[in-house]
Amino acid sequence: MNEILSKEKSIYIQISEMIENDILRDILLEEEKVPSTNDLAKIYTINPATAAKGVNILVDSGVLYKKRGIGMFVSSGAKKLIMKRRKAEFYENYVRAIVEEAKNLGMTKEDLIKMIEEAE
Amino acid sequence: MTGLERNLKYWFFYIAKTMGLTYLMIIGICAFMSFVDGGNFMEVFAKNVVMYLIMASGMSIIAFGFTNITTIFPVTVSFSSRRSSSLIAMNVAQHVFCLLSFAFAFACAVYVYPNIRPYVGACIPAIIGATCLLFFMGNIVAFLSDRFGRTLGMVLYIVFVLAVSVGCVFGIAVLTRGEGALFAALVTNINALGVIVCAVGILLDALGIWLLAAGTKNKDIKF
Amino acid sequence: MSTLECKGIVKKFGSNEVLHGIDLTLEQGKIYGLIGRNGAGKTTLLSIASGQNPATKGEITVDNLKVWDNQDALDKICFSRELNITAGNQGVGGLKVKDYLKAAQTYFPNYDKALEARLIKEFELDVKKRLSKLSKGMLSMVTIIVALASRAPYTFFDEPVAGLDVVARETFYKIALEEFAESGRTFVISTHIIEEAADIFEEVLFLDTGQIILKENTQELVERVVHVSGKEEDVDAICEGRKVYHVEKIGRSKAATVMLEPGEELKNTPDVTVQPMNLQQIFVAMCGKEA
Repeated sequence: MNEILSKEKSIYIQISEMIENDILRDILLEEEKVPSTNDLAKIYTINPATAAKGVNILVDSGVLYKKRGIGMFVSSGAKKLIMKRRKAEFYENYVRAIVEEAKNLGMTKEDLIKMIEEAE
Repeated sequence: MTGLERNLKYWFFYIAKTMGLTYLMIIGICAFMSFVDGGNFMEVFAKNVVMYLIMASGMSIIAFGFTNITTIFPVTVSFSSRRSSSLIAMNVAQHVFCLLSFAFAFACAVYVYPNIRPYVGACIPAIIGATCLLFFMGNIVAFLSDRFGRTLGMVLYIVFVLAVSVGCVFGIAVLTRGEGALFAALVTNINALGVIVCAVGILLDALGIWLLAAGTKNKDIKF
Repeated sequence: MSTLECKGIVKKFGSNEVLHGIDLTLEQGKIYGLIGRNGAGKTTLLSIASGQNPATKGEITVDNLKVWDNQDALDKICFSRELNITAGNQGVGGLKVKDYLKAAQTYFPNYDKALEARLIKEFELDVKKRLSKLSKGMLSMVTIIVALASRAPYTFFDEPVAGLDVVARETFYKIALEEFAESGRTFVISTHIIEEAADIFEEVLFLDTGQIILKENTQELVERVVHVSGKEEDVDAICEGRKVYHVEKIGRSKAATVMLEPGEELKNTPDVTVQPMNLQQIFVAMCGKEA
């Protein structure tokens, strides 16, 4: 939770990603309580409504769940959920973009695969 | 506390502080002077107090006309006070303190100049009237300097202060000497005179306050 | 829900009309950013909305109570103005900070002295100094303290960070957010230091030459407005049928600031670069000289 906000993406998306990162890094464990939206707002100096939006993304995707009157908790299996979603995003945002860009540059599929092998 | 109550609390506190300090200083200086002078302490003290207190009060009152309304009143509005509550409290506090200080000066005067004593009854309304008259002058200064600029206000202030000082000195001289045709004329009509001065003073003061309120009611407050 | 409404607010100074019919509803429990250039009318609007100055036309109500000359409504509002101590108002300048704060304590019904003490410590303010001897930054701190400690349900800040160094500014944003989170008060903060405050505003209001040209949720606005650049024909195709602000041309290349529909997405293509814009860039595009 010590990352700083960048101007690249919407704030609330960054909040949800930061919480996800903390879950993947075992900074936040499954079934553990997550900081409240007011705490998040304080930590990042943002409007609580924005923090709430970020948290709600994670509630909607099942990574977090709400305990009435107490707060938000990390769901069990959250790690797996996050990885699964990120892999799908990786495909959408990175892989397809690489394929497009390679096409624009006039590269073939084999050229691209060779590049990937070099990068390893 | 209602808005008016809050305003009364603040304005009384503020006027007490600004006037109080001045008066304590005057009383202190007079006491010191009387002490140094050597004669009957109470008498010398009372004489000095009368003169200086009256002068200071007179000047303060006319000054009040345009200082409080331009400096402190906007601050009260900036603290979400209703304008009319602030104006009312300001006037009440100003009048109360000025009347108190004149009362004190008058008490000293009665102590020092025994020949006034029979006329105390008539003097009281006259003093109230005179105080109100001074307030009226202050409000005129405020009103005119608002309309026509500070310089005119300053000039008028000086003119009024001079007029009042001269009048005071003259009046006291006449009263304390206790002789002459003018004095006799004053004495015979003293009661009526007192009431007339009082009525005129109060009316003019009310007029001045009304003018001030009307002018301030819908004006923009700038800082 | 509690609201503060401005209905048809017109303000004229002599024959010069500076606010041309402002209609605005402020809701309870939100932080609004009031953004506008110098002279746009921010201070005028706030002074009218807080009932301190009269409007030429129109009405301000809070919870259906008229604000003007009504202490019950005025009790719900605090407008802490920029304090400019000039030769003209020496009376105020002569006041010590603690006297000024004492006056505030007397007037605001919900004033919180504990919060005031905490803020004085936080800002390291010397309360024995006279207002005329304070730097611009310290004057800003005084107005911030009054505004926060007033605990008024609708609190307006007029350029609160003017003159504050960057660390003091961060302190202000942090403390304001803390107080907001605790109390759910409505804050309206006028500023033209836009980007650093952008994250704390739930909604932004753009005031341009006396009119509110935009009132949007900050995050949604930033998502909807993009910078599109590329060859002139391609950019024109994208601009077709959409709200466009601020177009630039260099040779065969063209750039435009475009507002998309809510939820709409525009992706980069080989022909056209689509970039996100931050709040400051959006404001300049909409209200800048070449808007």
